[in-house]
Amino acid sequence: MALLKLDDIKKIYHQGKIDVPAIRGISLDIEKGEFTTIFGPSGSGKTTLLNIIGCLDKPSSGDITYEGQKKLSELNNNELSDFRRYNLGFIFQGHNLIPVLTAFENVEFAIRIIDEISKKERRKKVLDILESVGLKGLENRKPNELSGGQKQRVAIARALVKNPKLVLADEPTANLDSETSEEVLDIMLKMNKKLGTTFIFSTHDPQVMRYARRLIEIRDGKVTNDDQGEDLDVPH
Amino acid sequence: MFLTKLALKNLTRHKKRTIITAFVISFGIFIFLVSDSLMVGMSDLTIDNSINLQTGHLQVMKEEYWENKDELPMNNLIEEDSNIINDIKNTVSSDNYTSRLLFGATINNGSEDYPINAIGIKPDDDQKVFDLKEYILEGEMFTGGQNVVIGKGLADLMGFNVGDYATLLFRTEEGTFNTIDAQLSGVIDAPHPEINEFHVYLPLQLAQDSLNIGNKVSKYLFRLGERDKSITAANNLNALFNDNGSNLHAYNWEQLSQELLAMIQQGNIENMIMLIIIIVLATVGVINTVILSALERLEEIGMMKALGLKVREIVYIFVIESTGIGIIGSFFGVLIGSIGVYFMSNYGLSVSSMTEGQSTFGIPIADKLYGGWEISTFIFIFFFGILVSILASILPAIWGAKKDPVKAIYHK
Repeated sequence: MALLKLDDIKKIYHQGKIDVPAIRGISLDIEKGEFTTIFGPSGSGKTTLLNIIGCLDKPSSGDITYEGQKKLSELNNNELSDFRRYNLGFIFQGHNLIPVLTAFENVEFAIRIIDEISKKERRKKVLDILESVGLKGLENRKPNELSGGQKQRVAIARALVKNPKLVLADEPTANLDSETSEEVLDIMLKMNKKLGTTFIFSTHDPQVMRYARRLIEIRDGKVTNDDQGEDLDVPH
Repeated sequence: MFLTKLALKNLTRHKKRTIITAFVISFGIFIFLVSDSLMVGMSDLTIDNSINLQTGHLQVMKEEYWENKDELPMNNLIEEDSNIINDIKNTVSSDNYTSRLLFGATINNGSEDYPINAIGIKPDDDQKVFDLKEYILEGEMFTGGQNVVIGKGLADLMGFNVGDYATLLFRTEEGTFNTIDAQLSGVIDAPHPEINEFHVYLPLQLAQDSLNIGNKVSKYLFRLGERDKSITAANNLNALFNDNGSNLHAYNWEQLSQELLAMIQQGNIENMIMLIIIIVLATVGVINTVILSALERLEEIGMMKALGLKVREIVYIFVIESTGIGIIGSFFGVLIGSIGVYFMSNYGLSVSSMTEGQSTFGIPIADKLYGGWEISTFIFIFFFGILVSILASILPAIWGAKKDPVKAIYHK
């Protein structure tokens, strides 16, 4: 059973009297544990698709079924918030950390709002994940005391700390140099293997695509290519 | 708890903005407290002055006299009946009794005359009810004979000194003119402009003889232990008068000070204006702060929504931040307000220099004005400042929290 089943997703933006189609009917199955990259040129609809999968945006038509049971179009705003809270992790290109919180607290944020585990367990979990992303010893630093790569690692740790079934990453390496990008991607791949977390990236960076186990190409709001396997033909 | 902690940490993001917004609230609270303290001080002082120098706690007179009392009528006077007076004393449980005879007259210094209120008193009894004697500035209070005591303002106006002779011209009950030539035995400088400028005190016997009214007086006046007892005492007396079929009526201090209380009430409007100013200042400050914060944190709001925070949880963060600003503002407002009120209460504000002893905003104070403390006001304004802060933050917080997460994250 697929983790996610996208059924004829369409998204049309209304700009005055003009309808601008961003997604023109995408149907996809995303399996558990996939490490998938959605790529395509700017304006092709990658981010829109990612936002729809992440329940941050609603499709104009079509539906997403989660684990074969839950139809996301049937959920109201509060239920969608709960769905994101318990099932999804997000990594943004701008990392979006809270400046007044330390690295530890930024990561802790994601599980504090779930509040299902004791303080002791929570602390262990946060420290473990920070160690996994190579930030041991930096947990008490605030974002302005961390480098760009370190901030993005905190964002990854925040996305993963609650063991979500799906992590959505929108151009996660866009603001990083190539060396740091590789480090960050290595961490995500390691987490994918270690925790079995499903990752979906949007990117147009070939370096990111090389890590993918599935490459979905989007052009003008449509899937034009969908390759899976170990030796993918990564575009340059 | 975590969201509360986050909200409080957010207060440190823009310390200057937090301090300025809190200061605006503090300033409003300071102005309110000082203003309220002055009003409390003014109210207490004016009421005490009025009771101690003019009304006493309780007065008994004919209802017909009460209706025309401002004209100082010579009809509807009452006989000074010792049986009735003893009944009243027993009912109100007080021996502090005096009687007064009031009539309109003009005072003449030989070249000019001036309209005054003449008041016949029995000095020994009068000092059981009033503090006039304490305010004798020059000379002394008469014990009887052809003597008068007048206020300093009137003495200055007419050029009188102690020992000088003044002539009082007045009409008797029958409408005929009569005069009293009396020596000025003393000058009063009381903290009550009306007494200083318009009152002439003379022995009751002299007044009764000159008016040819036997032992009639205008009213009986009493001093009770506390002014709060006055209302019950007046009610008891009126029940007694009704039972006896008497045409007398007792009036408590509130009824006797109606005009004064109305003026004080008018002064309280000033406090309401101060409250409105606080509301406006705090509201503008807090709304401005919350909107700026929301705009600055759009990406963060988007991220929080992506993490699964609901609108009400994001609103909660902003409201707690505003509560923090309200607490800081109210705390320092009450603190500096306390300092202001302390100085007002201990050192006072000289209003005589401002008004040259004439009058004080129409309220009878001719001395220093001291502030008063009312703990309930401090508690009220502390929580009021916080409440305004909270209420002002709700709408802009909802505005910020309802931002489309996609637009917020990508700052569109």
